[in-house]
Amino acid sequence: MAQIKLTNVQKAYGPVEVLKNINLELESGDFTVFVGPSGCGKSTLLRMIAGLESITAGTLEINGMVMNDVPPAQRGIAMVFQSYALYPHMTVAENMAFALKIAKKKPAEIDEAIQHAGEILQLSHLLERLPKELSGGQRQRVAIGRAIVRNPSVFLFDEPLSNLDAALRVQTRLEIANLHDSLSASMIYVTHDQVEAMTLASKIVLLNAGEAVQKEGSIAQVGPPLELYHNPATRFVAGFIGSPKMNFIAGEILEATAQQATIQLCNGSKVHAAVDATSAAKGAKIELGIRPEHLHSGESEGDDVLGKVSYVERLGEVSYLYLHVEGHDGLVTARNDGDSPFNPGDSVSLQVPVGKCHLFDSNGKAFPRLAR
Amino acid sequence: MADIAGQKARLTWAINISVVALVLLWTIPTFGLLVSSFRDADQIANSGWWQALFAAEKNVIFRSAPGDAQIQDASGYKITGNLFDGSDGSVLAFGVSSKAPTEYLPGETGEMTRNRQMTVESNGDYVISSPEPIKSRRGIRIFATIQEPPKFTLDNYEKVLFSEGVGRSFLNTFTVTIPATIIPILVAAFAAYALAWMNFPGRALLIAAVVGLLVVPLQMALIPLLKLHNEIGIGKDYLGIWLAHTGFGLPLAIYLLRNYIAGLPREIIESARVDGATDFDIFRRIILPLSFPALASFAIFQFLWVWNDLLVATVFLGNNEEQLVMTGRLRELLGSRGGDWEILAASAFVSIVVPLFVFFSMQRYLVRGLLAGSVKGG
Amino acid sequence: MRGGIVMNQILLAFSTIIIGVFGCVAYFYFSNLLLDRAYPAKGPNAGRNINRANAIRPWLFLGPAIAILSLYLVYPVVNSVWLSFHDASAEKFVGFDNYIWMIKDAKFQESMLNNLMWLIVVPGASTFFGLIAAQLTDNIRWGNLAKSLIFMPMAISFIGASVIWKFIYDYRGEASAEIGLLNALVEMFGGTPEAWITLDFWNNFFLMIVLIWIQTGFAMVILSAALRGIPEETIEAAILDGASPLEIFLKIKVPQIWGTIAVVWTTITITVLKVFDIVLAMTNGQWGSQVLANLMFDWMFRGADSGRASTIALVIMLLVTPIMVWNIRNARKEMR
Repeated sequence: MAQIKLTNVQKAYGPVEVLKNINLELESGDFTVFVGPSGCGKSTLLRMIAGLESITAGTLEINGMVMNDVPPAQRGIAMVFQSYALYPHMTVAENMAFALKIAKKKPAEIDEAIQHAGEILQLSHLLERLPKELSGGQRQRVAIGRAIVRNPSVFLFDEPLSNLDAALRVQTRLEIANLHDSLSASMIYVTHDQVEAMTLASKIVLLNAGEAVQKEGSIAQVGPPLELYHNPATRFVAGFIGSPKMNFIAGEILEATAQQATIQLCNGSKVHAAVDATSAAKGAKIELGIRPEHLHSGESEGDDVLGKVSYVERLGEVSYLYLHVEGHDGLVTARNDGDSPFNPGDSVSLQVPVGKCHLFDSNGKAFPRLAR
Repeated sequence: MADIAGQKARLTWAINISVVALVLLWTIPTFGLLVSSFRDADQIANSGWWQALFAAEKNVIFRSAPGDAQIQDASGYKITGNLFDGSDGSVLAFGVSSKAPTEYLPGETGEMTRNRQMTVESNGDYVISSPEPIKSRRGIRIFATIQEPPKFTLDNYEKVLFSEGVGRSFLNTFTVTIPATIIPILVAAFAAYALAWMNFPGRALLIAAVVGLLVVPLQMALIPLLKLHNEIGIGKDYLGIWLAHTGFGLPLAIYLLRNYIAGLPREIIESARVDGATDFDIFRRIILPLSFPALASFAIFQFLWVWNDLLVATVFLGNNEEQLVMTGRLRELLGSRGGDWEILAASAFVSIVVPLFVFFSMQRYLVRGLLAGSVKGG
Repeated sequence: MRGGIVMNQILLAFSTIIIGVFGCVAYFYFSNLLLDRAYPAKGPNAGRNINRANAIRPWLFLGPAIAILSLYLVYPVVNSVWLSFHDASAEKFVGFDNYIWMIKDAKFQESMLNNLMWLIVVPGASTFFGLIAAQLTDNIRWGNLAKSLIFMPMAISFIGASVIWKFIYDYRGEASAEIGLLNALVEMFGGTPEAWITLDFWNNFFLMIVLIWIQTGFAMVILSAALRGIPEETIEAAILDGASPLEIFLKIKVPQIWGTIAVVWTTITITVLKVFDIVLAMTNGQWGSQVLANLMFDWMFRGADSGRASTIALVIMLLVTPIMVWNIRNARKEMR
């Protein structure tokens, strides 16, 4: 049985529908990450699970109980806020004790819970400090500690790393991953950063924004991180997951068989893709999706696309070439060696590996890829 | 800003001098009265307070010792004594009649009627001699222009505190001020929390109403409320004025506190809610402790306003010893002792010393309250 | 005996504080408890109960405040309107008689004219001096001390300030030495001492000085905060553009704080409309220095005429109304 189940959940502010058609089942022990562009409502969805926002329509079940009208404190959840939301006039220990005191727990029990959380998070020596006397990373840990002492069945995180600097962010990310392993509790985590999503999640929920919500509902795709990377359901998912972004080049289908599809691109070159596009008519307008890391500029292996280097970004370990391709608006990105021999103005022949291609129809839907 | 290259020293000087001038203009009036409150009553009436440190010159009529004190010797009868009775001072001139009060210089001998003679030395020693026995019960008049050294005294304060009723008024003012400061705070804090963090229909309208009530002139409220208080039997009583000040202070209290409480981070309040706190818990354990600066600002405002108020006190309290407050007493003294500056100055300072102390010790909160309290412009 | 009365008074004050504070706390605590009991957030109807409790709770929190505000501020406004159509003892309906009397009354006309002068001079002068003081003190090392001293009159009661200034304006007559600073200065520069506050027409300005003296500190504090809130970059850009300090002040700083200047101006305007203590203490409206608030007070106490007094109070209310509307509009804009 799913631990958290959302059925046809919807959120509207007056006539504005923010979240639509949300059907989700999250299993016990899952590390679920809600990710999506800004304004997609991922924080709102989290706050609806927490009980901080009302649910306009649909049902929310936690551990088999309908929770739509249950106050936050009785949902068995704990939340870590973006700004940590530590009570500034209470010490670390008092911050962690607050919820337990409200629940009228015994002092000995409270003490034990605080000591335990302090040890897990290495906060034991800071218990008597006020929040303003702590560093950003320490505050973050107190916020997590405050969640731990409540021993919830689900942890909710609302962009918890966005206030930390880059180095601390990586470290805390690892700590949260460790915590998930050691507590074996369910966690729901909201972020706009796809790296956090990819590294932490056992299950990613990618949300649509803007017009797509009305057409397809709020959820773009649900699945393990690599599933979203390898088999994006739509052009939007393909573009959102992966960095630098996937290249999309317009073309049309010349021939589609059960084994592969043959496509003519906008610059006239012909490429083959291991995609089942038999559902599309011959001559249908499609887009070819190919990730920069899969565009090689080496010995010819498959089909070539000719491009002219516009500029080169050298990051040391790798270089990225930005190329003009005839008939294509914008630039095509391709990964190259760290000491790439190419310079602006050079003509490069790019190989498009048959097995790495994605095809999307004019509505943005992906054609099924074939295993090779 | 101070580090910019090429700034002219002359400009800095001009600014400093201007500020000195402004500060002097703004402090001298108070300072003058402060100095006067410590001066001797006679000296206040005869010389400006700026001359307080210099010796004062004045014309005085003394009386010699009475006739009983005369002694008889070979040349006749004599009365001796000292004009200053041991205190400091010097005689610049003297006279024997009101027609010529400065006729003689010290050490000279003045001729009087009935062959009497008078000599006054500059240190105040005088000798009046007469061939006949002197029959004078009240003593003989001596006209003198004297120079007195500066006299500073606490007598004025002693007098106003204990015999002019100012001491009692001081106590009455405290009786009015403390409850009238504390009671509105709690009422306002709960309302402010509701207006800041609870959702209910009509909230925006209520906030607008509070902003509107901020500027309602007190004059509107006086007559209807006095009638009302009289009807329910609390007219001219402390209970009435406490309620009145609570009512009049409430819009500012709600406005200040709502602005502050609405500025607290939303996530802290949500976090408390997730932790299981009810609205009452949140208010008591999160909002109240965190709002201390705003509460202090309002408390200072209300304290100063109630302490300094004359209008409400005149209307809602009586004019008797048990109820007259400092401002009312000061107004009364202005009427009855209009020219007695030693009384007025000392009374005025007794009345402003408490607000000045509050002002200087808690200026930080006062400024913060002012900044939050003035409705921000577009 | 006397000591006993004083003790009683202190006890009364303290018990009021305790009863007041505990009463408030008890009210809020028990009313909330009652609400939670009536609509428990548990059981089969938990959801509906929570919604109901949440709909009621704000009104519990707001109850006392709304009750006091209605009784002490809203009701009087309505009642004053009613009173203004009734005679001196509020018994007989007299229609517009009070209004007609008021318009024809010479003292009322004088008060309106004087109030108008106060409105023109005091807010402008206070804001002007406050702006100058704010700008100058922000640029010097002992600025905070200077600010404190200029701000100090804020803490002094109007009546205390009146005593202070009456002493400055004191007039002793020709025979004796002048002990009022103003007359001493006039004498020093060869002028003739005057009884300034009895001087027809001009005495108004001597009274206004008292209020300007008090309000300048307020203006300075607010404007100084506004000046410091101006983005430093705009000033640095102006310095690079070669603007002189005066030009920076007039053309860069002042235009950026217009909003605050307007707020200071209107706040002082409201104080001016309500000015009462100063006139009462200095002249009591004699020698052509009457103002509306003091006239109203006169009719309330000496005249014992609630009809006329209320009519005058309504005029003050009417004069405040445009500012009230402006404030409400600004507050609403800000909340959005």
